[in-house]
Amino acid sequence: MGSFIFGILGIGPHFPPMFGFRRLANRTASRLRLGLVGAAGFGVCQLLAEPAANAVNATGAPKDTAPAATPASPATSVETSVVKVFATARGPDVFRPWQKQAPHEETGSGIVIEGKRILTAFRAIQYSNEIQIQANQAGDKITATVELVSNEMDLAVLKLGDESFFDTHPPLARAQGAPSIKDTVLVYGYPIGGTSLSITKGIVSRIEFTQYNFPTYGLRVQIDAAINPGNSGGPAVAGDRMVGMALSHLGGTENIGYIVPNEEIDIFLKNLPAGKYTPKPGFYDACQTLQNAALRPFLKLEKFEEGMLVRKADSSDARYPLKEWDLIEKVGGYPVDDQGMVHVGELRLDFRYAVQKDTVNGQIPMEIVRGGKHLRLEVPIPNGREMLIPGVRGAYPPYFIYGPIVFTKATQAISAGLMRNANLMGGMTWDASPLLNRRGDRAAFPGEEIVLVPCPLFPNKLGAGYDPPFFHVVASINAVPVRNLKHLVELLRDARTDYVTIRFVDRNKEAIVFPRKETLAATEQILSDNGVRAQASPELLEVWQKKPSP
Amino acid sequence: MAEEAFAMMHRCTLLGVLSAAILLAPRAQPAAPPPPSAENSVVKVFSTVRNPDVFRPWTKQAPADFTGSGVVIEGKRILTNAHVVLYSNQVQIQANQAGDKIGATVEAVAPGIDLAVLKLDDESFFDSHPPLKRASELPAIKDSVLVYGYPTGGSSLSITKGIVSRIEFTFYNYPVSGLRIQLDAAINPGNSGGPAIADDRMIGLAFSHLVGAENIGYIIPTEEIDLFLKQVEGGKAYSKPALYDLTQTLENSALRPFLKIDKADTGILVLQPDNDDPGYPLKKWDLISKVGSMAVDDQGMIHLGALRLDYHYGVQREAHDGKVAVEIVRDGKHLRIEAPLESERPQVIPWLSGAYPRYFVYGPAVFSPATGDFFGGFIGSTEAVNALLFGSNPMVTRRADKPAFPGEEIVVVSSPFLPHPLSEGYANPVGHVVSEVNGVKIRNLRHLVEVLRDAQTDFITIVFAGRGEETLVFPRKKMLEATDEILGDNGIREQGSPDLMEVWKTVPKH
Repeated sequence: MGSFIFGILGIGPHFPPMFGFRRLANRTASRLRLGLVGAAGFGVCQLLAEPAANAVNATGAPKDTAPAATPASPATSVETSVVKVFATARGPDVFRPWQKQAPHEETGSGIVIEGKRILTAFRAIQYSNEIQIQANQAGDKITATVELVSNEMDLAVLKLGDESFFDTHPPLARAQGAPSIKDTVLVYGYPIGGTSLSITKGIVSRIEFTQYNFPTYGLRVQIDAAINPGNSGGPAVAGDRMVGMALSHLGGTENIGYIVPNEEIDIFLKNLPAGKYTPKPGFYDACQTLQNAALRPFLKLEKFEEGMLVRKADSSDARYPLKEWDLIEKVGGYPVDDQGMVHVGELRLDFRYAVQKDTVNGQIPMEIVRGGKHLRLEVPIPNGREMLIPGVRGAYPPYFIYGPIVFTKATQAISAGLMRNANLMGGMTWDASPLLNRRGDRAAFPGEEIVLVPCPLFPNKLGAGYDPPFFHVVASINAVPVRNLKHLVELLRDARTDYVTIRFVDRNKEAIVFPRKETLAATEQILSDNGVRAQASPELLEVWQKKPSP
Repeated sequence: MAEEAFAMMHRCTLLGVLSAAILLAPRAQPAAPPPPSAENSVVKVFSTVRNPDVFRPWTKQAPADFTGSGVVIEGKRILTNAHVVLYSNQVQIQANQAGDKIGATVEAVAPGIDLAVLKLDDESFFDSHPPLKRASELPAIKDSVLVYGYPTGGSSLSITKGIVSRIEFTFYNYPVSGLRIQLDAAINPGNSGGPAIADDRMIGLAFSHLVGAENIGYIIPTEEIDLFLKQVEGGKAYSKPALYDLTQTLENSALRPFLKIDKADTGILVLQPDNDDPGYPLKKWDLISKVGSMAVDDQGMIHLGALRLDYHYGVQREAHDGKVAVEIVRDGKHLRIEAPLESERPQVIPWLSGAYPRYFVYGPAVFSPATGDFFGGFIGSTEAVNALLFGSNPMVTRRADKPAFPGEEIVVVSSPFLPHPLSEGYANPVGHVVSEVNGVKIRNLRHLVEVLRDAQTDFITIVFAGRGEETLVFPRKKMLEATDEILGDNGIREQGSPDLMEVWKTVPKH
């Protein structure tokens, strides 16, 4: 009632200034302003892979006109190491997980790196199984496959079908260390506004250690060279060495572009031999700064004692060494100041950089002050944070179809889509949906997932009379609480009752009861009727078809 | 189908209209015949409204002028909609073709059913403006109706004509449901509070229309008006006892064999009783087959004459002494039970519904109980919602909860810090929910004030609920000393709402 009064009067409620949301707001602000993923409309912001439709020039002339004769000039090494990346992307269809969205063409940029590989941005090739690269001034495209990805850091490595390409296209050497502020950089890539290689020039404006995708932090270099859609994955070069990979720009601003620096690229590439990506060490405990004048006397800290205060450990392990109100004075070799920053050369970075840098074998030494005493602790540092609602790393959502009802697991692709619709979210808070209430949670136990129904029931008399359980989160099958999607499949597989009862976590939502034998019998016909090829994702089909436990 | 949660988002707009008050001087006229009675009983309502400012609860929003309609009723009163006069401290009415406005006060208001009663400063008005008689029965579908009021598009009385299109029992404003009549007469902003008349009798009060549709207007039927007037007589608050058990329809064919319900039995299934007390007479999977003597069908509807209405209407009709007699089918047996009704639906995050937010200022921090209105202000911004979700803020996680114990409130920081050195170095905690102060779990705003009042420590620590929020530490004596300066600097007249200032100033017992 109350909020509608505001609407009628035309005097809206005064939205609060975003002061309280500093930490997240910076991240979400930059993410939101970077626009939407093209076809899916879900998922986090699209980072500069642009649809190929833009590539046609204004006069409608065909793209591949022969270049006018130019005096022969030796191609410089950087140009020979930059490629255009073409990807045919099929985004996941979060509402119909048995199929994919219509394909659309994306272009981006890539860099030749050591080991006969191409480095590019994850978003440029996300959800693509048809990827090709094209060298500067070359006429042919070469097929590529994805070898390694990190959606947390937005990086990907491609292998080529025909490796003779690398004979004439050497890797671009990377500079040691980070560039300095004010260094000149050139950004090479294939942005919108034309089809061939484009080079822009600028300087290094700022270097920070900040949030990439919740909850992952990384070093990020800001430059004022023009970076546009299509530049993703291309190199930023200072002198003749690469200093980073173009990632994104801040929408609605001028010349605020971001590159992933070599240090992060090197950490990422260390995963290549293993063939799979292990997240970086990260520090996820809630902390607060020592800035307010009351905190020192309150905690009986001396004026010379500086650092970052621990508020709440992220780990629930009782043996975790950090406690509330510990003052972290030093992380590895880095002293921490009252704003939680460490000095690294000429830079001042968030102290979590020190954790990333100095963690060895999953541990890092920290010097703390607790109860007036100085202590040295070995703090266990996890690789990444197991989110209850995880990112997808380019995989398609797993699903299982049982008669007329479809089940899938919640991922960032689903939650991020919800985030855009504030009214829908407001409504969902009434139902206490875990999609909202547990958005930032870690898994409560290993393997925990949120299982939900991503679409209305397939039309069938088995479902007649039930409200569409659209986006309802499954609580239990036959009163057994569901731990994850695989567990749900097992419960359905092993059920022996005449009826199967599905209850949902969301408040106020119906229980769904199906007659078990009829539901099994109806499945084939439902799949045919709705053009569904497979009843489940491969790994879940395997579980379904296993002999049930006695 | 399941019964939806009562707090649905309304798709109707309410029909007060923002306008500047412009008085047109009447031109000299020849002697005219006396106007017909309906016109004589319809008034224009002018209301100067000051909505609450949930982000600055020590003040109100700037006054805004609203117009709507009203109708003269028995007892020398004017009936109008609650939303026309809610938060107004200055109401005037003007009769049809009259030049003067008469001051009015709000005597009774019920936001739940959107009705309000006005008293006039000068009751001689009623000598020449008699009450409009109300119909004693519901109209029939297709009956012709005239709607009288003062909608946008002009300033004098406007009459539109239509028919009764539909009658249903549906949600009004949480937690109230009621009968609602749909007309196709044009109803526009400004019509709120005006009568719909059939055969010289008022059949209802216009109150809203469906936005984006053509000619789907809604009126509150006289049956609901009569219930309201009877309730608020003598100054009592309006409440409507109802059943709030979660139910689901018996439509799906698997449910009968699953629950072993005979084909001959129809009704609505109890999915989850509202109350998990062992003494509560309704249990999960009970089939409510009759309300009073009215049979309930598989979609939860009852038949009354030519109408088919939600069974909650039957409950409303049959309710007596806070109970309703229902027939249920349980384990194959037919039982008659008396189900207790609830009139109050306390929520831990309630709507303000005409009240101004309570608050307390402590140094640079401002605290207030979280309300639906405050939360509504946040969810307009996706960034703010993201922050609430990632932070597991109780305003989200406990949105639809009842209080866990009597008097429970969710205490929230309602404003950015009032600028002062004491808060330097802390991020602004707007929207953060207070969990503990000095290690004491905070039950409600009053409790917070008591804890702050009785603290003897050098420092006050305020811990917030959820993930990742800073703990605020303030030097207690400096906070107290800085109060006057902060209030003065920010133009805040009172440090807290009256009831809280009383608590603050009461010397604690030892």
